[in-house]
Amino acid sequence: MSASGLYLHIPFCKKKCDYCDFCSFTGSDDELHRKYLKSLQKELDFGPDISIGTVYIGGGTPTLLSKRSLQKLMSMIRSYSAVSGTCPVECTIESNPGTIDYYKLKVLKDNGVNRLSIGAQSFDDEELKLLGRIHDSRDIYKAYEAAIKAGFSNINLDLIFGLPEQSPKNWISSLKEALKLRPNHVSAYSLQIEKGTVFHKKYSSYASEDAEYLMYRDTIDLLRSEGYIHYEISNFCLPGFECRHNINYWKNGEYLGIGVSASSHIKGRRKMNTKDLEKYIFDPVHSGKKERHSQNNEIAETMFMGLRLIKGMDMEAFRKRFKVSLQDLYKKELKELKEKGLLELKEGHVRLTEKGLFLANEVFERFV
Amino acid sequence: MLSVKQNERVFLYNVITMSSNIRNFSIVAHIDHGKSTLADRLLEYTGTIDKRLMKDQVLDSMDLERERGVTIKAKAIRIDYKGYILNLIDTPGHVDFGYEVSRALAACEGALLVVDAAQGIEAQTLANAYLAVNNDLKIIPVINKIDLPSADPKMVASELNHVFGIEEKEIVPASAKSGLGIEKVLDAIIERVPPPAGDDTAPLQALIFDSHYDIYRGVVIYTRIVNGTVNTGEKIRMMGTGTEFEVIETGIFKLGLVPTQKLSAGEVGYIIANIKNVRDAHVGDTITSAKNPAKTPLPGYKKAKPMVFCGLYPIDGDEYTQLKDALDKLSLNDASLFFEPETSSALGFGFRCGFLGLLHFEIIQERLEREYKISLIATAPNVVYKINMKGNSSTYIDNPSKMPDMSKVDSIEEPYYKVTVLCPERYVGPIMTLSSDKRGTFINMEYLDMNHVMLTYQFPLAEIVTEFYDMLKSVSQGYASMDYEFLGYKEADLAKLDILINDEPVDALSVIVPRQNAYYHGRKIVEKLRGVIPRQMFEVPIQAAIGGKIIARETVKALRKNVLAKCYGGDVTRKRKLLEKQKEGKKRMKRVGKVDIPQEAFLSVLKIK
Repeated sequence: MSASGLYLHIPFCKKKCDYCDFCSFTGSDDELHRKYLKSLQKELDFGPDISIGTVYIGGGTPTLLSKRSLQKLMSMIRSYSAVSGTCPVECTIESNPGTIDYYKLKVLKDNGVNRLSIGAQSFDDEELKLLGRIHDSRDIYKAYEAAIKAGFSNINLDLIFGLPEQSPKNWISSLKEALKLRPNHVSAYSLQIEKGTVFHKKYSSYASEDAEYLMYRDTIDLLRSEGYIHYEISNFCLPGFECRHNINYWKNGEYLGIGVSASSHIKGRRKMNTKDLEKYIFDPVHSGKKERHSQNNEIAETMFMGLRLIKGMDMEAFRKRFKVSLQDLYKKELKELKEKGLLELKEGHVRLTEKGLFLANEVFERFV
Repeated sequence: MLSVKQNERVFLYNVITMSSNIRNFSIVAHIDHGKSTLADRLLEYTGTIDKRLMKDQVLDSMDLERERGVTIKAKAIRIDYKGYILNLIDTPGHVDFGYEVSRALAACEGALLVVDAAQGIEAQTLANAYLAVNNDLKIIPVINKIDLPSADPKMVASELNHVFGIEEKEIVPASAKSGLGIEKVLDAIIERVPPPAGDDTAPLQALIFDSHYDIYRGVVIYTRIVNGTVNTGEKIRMMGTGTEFEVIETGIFKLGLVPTQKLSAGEVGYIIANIKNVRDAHVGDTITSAKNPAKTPLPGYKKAKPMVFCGLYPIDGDEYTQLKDALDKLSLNDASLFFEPETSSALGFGFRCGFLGLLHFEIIQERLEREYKISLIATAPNVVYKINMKGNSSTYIDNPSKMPDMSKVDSIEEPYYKVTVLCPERYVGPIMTLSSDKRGTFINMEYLDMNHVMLTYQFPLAEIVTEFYDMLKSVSQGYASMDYEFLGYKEADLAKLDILINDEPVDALSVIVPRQNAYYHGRKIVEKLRGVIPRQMFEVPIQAAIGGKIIARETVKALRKNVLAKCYGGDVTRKRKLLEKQKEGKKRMKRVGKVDIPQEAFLSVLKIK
C-alpha cells in the first residue's frame, strides 16, 4: 500500500433528501461555505505526511458550492498532494443534478476533477418526488449532457432501488433508462431506511424481501448483459473504470478524511471527526475522536470489507499484512460457509459465491 | 469482644421472657393494601429499627420482592413494647404460597386484617381472613390508607360487617404511610390478642413455619414453640421425616439473629442444628425432642407439592452445569422448588422443574437469568395429568412429551381448581365470558354489598396457569381479584398436539389441549411460530399434528437477501458493530436441528387466545 486516499466532506445541501442520514446541513450561504473551506485548509495544514493517490469529494452536495469556492477547494487539494510530490490519478466529485451546469462542471474539469458522480437515484419522476429529491429526470439528462460537453469521460450514476411499494418492473425500467446514457460506472444501492430520517418515520417497511431480491438479481443480470463488470456488491463499471478511491476502502487501505464527520484510517488506526459543524469550524484539528482499535477488529474489518469485492480477498496479501494465514485463522468459518455454498476459494482468493452475494451479511457476521 | 456482647444479650432476653406477656401475631391483606408499610411503621414506632436505618419495607429483603411488591418468603421479627414481647410473623402475599401462609398463621394467636380504605375487601382479603379464622386467630381489623382522597372507610366498614360480621367499634383506622393510628394498633394487639397457651413442661412440640439457608451455618429454622422447651445441645427429631439433629443454637429475631440458651412454649425464634438442606426442615413439620418425644405432631402438615411444571434449558449447552448449580442453590432456600434432569431431543440437556404456581415459576426464571446470568429457554408451563391406562393402572405425567401411546390410554384426568373472583358488579359480564372461554364451570355468585360480587368457578388448572390472571385484570380494568385452591382431578377429553419444525417433531413444543379446540390451537400455534421464527437459509415448514396426522401447516420462507448495500470508509466501525449485533442475536437463539429458534417461540405456544 503506497498511495493513500483523500476524502473531503462538504456537508451542505439545498434540501435534505428524505432517506438521507449523512452529515449534511441546509440553509447555508456562501459566507459559511468560505468559512468552512478555511477550516478544511487548517485541518489539511496539520494533516499527516502521506502520498495521495486518489481524491474523493463527497457530501452533502459538493456542487452546491460556488465556482469560486470549488476552485479554491481544488487548489487546496493540489497543494496538499504536492507536498508529498504526488499527483492524484483519480479525483471524483459527487454532484446533484439540480446543482450543476456546464460552467460549473467546466471549472471542476479544468481544476483537476476527472471523475464525476451524478446522484440520479431514479429516472421516474414520481419516485424522485417520493425520495424527496430536488430534481426531476429531465435535470439528470441535462446534467449528463453538460458533463460530456465539459469534457468528463468518466461518469458514475448513483441509483436506488427497493423503495416502498416499488415493483421490480418499475426499477428495471428506471435502470434501462440510465443505461441509455451508457455511463462508465453505475452504483445501484438497495435502499436502507436509517433511524432519524424522514423515511424511518414515514415507512415501516421497505419493498418486500422477495421484491428486493428480484430487483437486485435483475440488476446484476441486466448490467452484466450490457457489458458491465460487477466488481463490488453495489458497483458496476465498464472495463477499466472501477473507482480506485473506493477500492482502497474495500481493501481497508489508508485514507485521510477531512471535514466534518469524516473518517480516517491511517497506520491501522481510525479517527472520526465531530459531526457538529460549529465545533468543527471552531477547531478542525482537534475535534476528532480517535477510536480504540485492536488487531482483531482490523482483521475483521479487512475481511468483511474485502469480501464486498466480487474478486474477493487475496489470501497472500492477507498473510503478508497480518502475518497469519487466513485459512488457519478462519478454518471453521470457511468450512461451514463453503458447505452452505456461500463462499468459494479460487485463484488465491476467498470470495462470495453467487448465492453468497445475496446473503453477504450472513457471511460477514462470521468474521466479526 | 463479640462473645461477651452476645452473652449480655442472652442474659437480657432470658430475663424478660414470660409467656403471659407474649403476643404472636401476623398481618394479612390483599396485595398492595399496605401490609409491608404497616409492618415498617410498627417496627419504627416501637424503636425496633432505627428510623435512619429504615429502608422501605424491611421485611422484603430480596430485590425481586421489593420490585414486585410481594413478600415471597415469610419472616419474623420481635418487637419489645410496653413490657410486652410482640412477635410479628410476616406472611407471603400471593396465592401461590397459600400453604406457607397457613403455617405462618398457625404460629400466631392473632392477626391484623388490613383493608385498603379505597379498595375495600378483595379476593385475598377474603382468602387470608378465612385462613386466619380457621386457625382460631383473633382478628383485629385495620382500615388502612384512611387519608387517601378516595378513601371510603364507611363503605369498607359496612363490607367488613356484611362479610365477616365485624362490628364498627372493633375497627382501627390507620394510615401506615403517615403513621396515623399506629399506637392504637399496637395497643389493640396487646389487649385483644390472647397470650399463647402452652405447657413448658410437656414434651416438645415446635411448629416450623419457615426456614432459610445460611452458607456458614446451614438451615435456620423459624419456629413457634407450642409446648415444651428446646435447649442448646439437645437432640431434636423432625416428626414428618424422622431425621434427628443436635441443636447448636437457639435464638430470637431482632433485625438479625440474637442467640438465647433456650426457647420455651409460646415463644417464636430460630433453631440452628447443623442441617444441610431445607428439605430436612419442611414448613409445617413438628420438631420434638429425640429423648422425650411428643406422642403426636401438630396438625396441618402437608408436603409442598408443585402444581405447575416446565422444562428449563440453557440456550448454550455449555451452561448446563451452571444451571444445575444455580437450581441447587435456589432450592437450598426453597423447599417447594422441584427439579430433575430431563433430556429433550430438541433442546438437549435441561431440567424439568416444578413450581407452586405461575408466579413462583416467573420468580425462579427471573432469578436464574438475573442473579446467575444464564440465558434460558423455558417451555410452556403445564400441569400434571393423570393417565388411566387400559387395564386399570394409572400414571401421572408432568411433561406432554411423556404421554404414552394413545391406543393404550383409557382416559386422561386433569387437575381442577376452585377459583373465587371478587369484582365490582359491572364487570361480571366480561368475566363470565372470559371464564367460559377458559373452560370454567360457574358455581355461584354472591353479593358482598350493593356493588361488589363474589363469583365462584371451577377451572382446569391448565387454563389458569398461563395468562388467566392478566386477562382477568384486563377485562375488569384492574378491579377484579382472584384466589384459588385445589379441588381434585377430573376426566377430560384431551389430545396431545405435536409441533414439527423442518419435518422434525420438537418435543419441547408439545402441548396437551382439549380435543375440541385442537384444530384451532394447532392452527394458531403454527401461525404464531411462523411470525416468531426468522427466515433461515432454507425454507422451514412448521406443522401441527395430532397422533401423526398433520392438522395445520405454515412455511417460513428461505432468507433470500440480507446484504448491506453501502459500505465505504466512513462507516466501517458502525457496520462492524451492526454485524456484531446480528451475530449476537443468533447466539440468543436455540438451534434445533438446523433451525435457529428464538426464546419467545417456546413460550408463544401458550399465548393462544
